[in-house]
Amino acid sequence: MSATDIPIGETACIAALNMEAPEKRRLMDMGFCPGAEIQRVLDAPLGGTIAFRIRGTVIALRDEQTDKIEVTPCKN
Amino acid sequence: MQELKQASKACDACGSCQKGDKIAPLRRADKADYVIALAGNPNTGKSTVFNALTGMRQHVGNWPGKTVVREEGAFRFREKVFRLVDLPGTYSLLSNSMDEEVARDFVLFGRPDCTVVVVDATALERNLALVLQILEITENVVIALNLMDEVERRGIRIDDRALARDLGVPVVAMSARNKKGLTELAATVDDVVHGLVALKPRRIESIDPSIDQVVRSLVKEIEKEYPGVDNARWIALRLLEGDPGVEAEIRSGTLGKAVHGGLSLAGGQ
Repeated sequence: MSATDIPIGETACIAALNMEAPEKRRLMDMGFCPGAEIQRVLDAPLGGTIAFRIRGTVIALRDEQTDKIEVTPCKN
Repeated sequence: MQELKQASKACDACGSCQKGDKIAPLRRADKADYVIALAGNPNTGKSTVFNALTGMRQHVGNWPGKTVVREEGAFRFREKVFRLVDLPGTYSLLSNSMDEEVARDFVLFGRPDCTVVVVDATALERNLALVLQILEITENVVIALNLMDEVERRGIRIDDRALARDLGVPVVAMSARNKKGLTELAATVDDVVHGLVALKPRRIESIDPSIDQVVRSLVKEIEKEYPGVDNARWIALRLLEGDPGVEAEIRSGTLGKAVHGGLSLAGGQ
């Protein structure tokens, strides 16, 4: 499943980033690395943007990006 | 603040840095003995550290992207003049915008004598990515663990000694807005530029031999094209990664233009 499918308030772990270098590096710079825990905390009122809590901060991403972030339930 | 007070007491008792060390803000200096880069993620207090050391009143604002060009100032410490370069905040040395490019170019090609990485101690994990990237390219690094007042207020505990040991470079706990830790920071920078500190930056050790071979041959090509270029290995890795910005700048010879007009000048062609 992708990060877009995480229910609001729920947490999942990043399994893979299915995208190419510049975009991938940018997300990794912001802390979206495989293994990182992300929690969907907020949706934009009109959709299109989702805010995630990651490593102690909140970052909003567009659907086009979250679609390409593969997530799995966190082990622990 | 309790811990900072205790630390300050311990500092008084220690005597390893001579008491009486004073930072004399100079604002501008025509001739500097050392150039110090001030890098860090956005909104970690770089400009507050900069103003505190140089006596300048560069605008400090609580929003990211405030510093878009590099600001320079200076201070005198232990009879030496240090030029301090305040860089725009960046999450990474892989630039994504003009201001990040300014920071990247200065760290990579500006040949600072020491790079101070200001980190937000309340969000240490996020900040360490940039620290590790900088440690890959230079060993003269001091970590300024800023916002320690906030750390204490939130009840977070940070083992700064373990951090320094693991990173292999000095870590100075400080709170720039309360003027705590500034003398310690200046003293540590002074020690680093004088080679008085053993530096063993943490780096990724294992790189696949097949990749390493390609990197080496690419480094040779880059150095042939641009003799004397700094950080050819870093450039090679970006090219292999498919970084379109670096590739374009290598083709046009404009990599590092924010510092010295591009590679051809740096390379002395």
